[in-house]
Amino acid sequence: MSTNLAEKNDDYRHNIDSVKGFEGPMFKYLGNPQLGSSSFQEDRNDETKLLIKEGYIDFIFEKEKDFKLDNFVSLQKWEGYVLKVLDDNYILVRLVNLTDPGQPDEEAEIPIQELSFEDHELIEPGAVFYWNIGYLDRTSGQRERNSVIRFRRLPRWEAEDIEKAKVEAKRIRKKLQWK
Amino acid sequence: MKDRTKDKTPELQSSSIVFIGSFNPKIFQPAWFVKEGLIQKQEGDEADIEIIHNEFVSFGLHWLKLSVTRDRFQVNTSQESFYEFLKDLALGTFTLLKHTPISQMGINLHMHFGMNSEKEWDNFGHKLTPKEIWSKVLTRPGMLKLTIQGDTNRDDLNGYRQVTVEPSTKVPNGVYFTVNEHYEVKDKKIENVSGCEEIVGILETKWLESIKTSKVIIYQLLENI
Repeated sequence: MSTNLAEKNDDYRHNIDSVKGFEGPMFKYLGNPQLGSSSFQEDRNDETKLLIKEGYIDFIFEKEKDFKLDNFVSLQKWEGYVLKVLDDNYILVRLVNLTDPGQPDEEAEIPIQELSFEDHELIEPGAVFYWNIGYLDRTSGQRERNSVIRFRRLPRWEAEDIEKAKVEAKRIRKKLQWK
Repeated sequence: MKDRTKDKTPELQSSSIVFIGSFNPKIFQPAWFVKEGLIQKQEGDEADIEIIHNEFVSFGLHWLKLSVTRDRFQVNTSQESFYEFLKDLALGTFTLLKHTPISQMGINLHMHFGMNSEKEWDNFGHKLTPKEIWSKVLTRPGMLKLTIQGDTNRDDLNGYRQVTVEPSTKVPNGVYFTVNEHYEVKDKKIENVSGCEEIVGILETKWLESIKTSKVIIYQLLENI
């Protein structure tokens, strides 16, 4: 490979800060769409300049932002379902091993205090969450062992969606000739 | 000393989801996501807002970067523990905004791996792009970027798969991989696209498979070279 990387662009934010002449991450988001990749490859200077000239984004370059995010490497990941809320302190859950899908499901009790306070309102039988254990590499360079449990957040089903699902279920049932 | 190539843990990684369509950027503010229950209230309150404008919105949470222009919606995270939530955020957003025309989607995985030495790193590049031909026309030719496109082997869906390999600019003697799983609606002319149910359906059913396939591709490349 070449070591001449200075003029190279990259697909990923982690590399942005080493690209010469790059003035701000959002600089490259403007303009025509790329085909589905998170690419920064096209030079959109002209379009950006036009937006600046027209007064749309003149101030964003004054603000130096650190776009780096902490990096988390998952060593073990489970998908979990709440089976039962045991009392105010514990939930009974089923855990599906996503790291090694061949492993059988497990049941566990998790203290509610282990969960983010913001997720408490989502706790109910059937609620889905993900549990990750791994390393969190902070942008400061520190590495921490970390455990993250977080509940899925999806919009509630509307009556229309439920009706659609019922119709689809009927259709499948008829096709399978279930009585 | 740790063998960096045998230890198959990426030194850095991230995933992103990109939609191409017709968007109203100003909708996509942290407060809207909180109101719809798609992110936590505290996250919304602590969001790092870069810009909120009719033409462009960009903000970050501790696990997420989001940016939206008139024709592009993009979310990414560098925390593997949040990959599912990235998908859920995109899914939830456009389940609610189901009349938003979206014609194309990219599900992307990015990984940086370190090599043990500069020599090993050079060999990796030479194997991917042999220099015999190039040495005849260039002095000290080096690979800056290689993108290979293939079919996705999904007869029922339009799209393709692109794999890009580059020298990492973040990891010393590192290699940077990107896999882009590209999906399109059947008629991708934006004026003919009336909503996003088709793309949202693909995201819901194909996201996990896309991420798994992307990982397999990257690890196979690492093993075979």
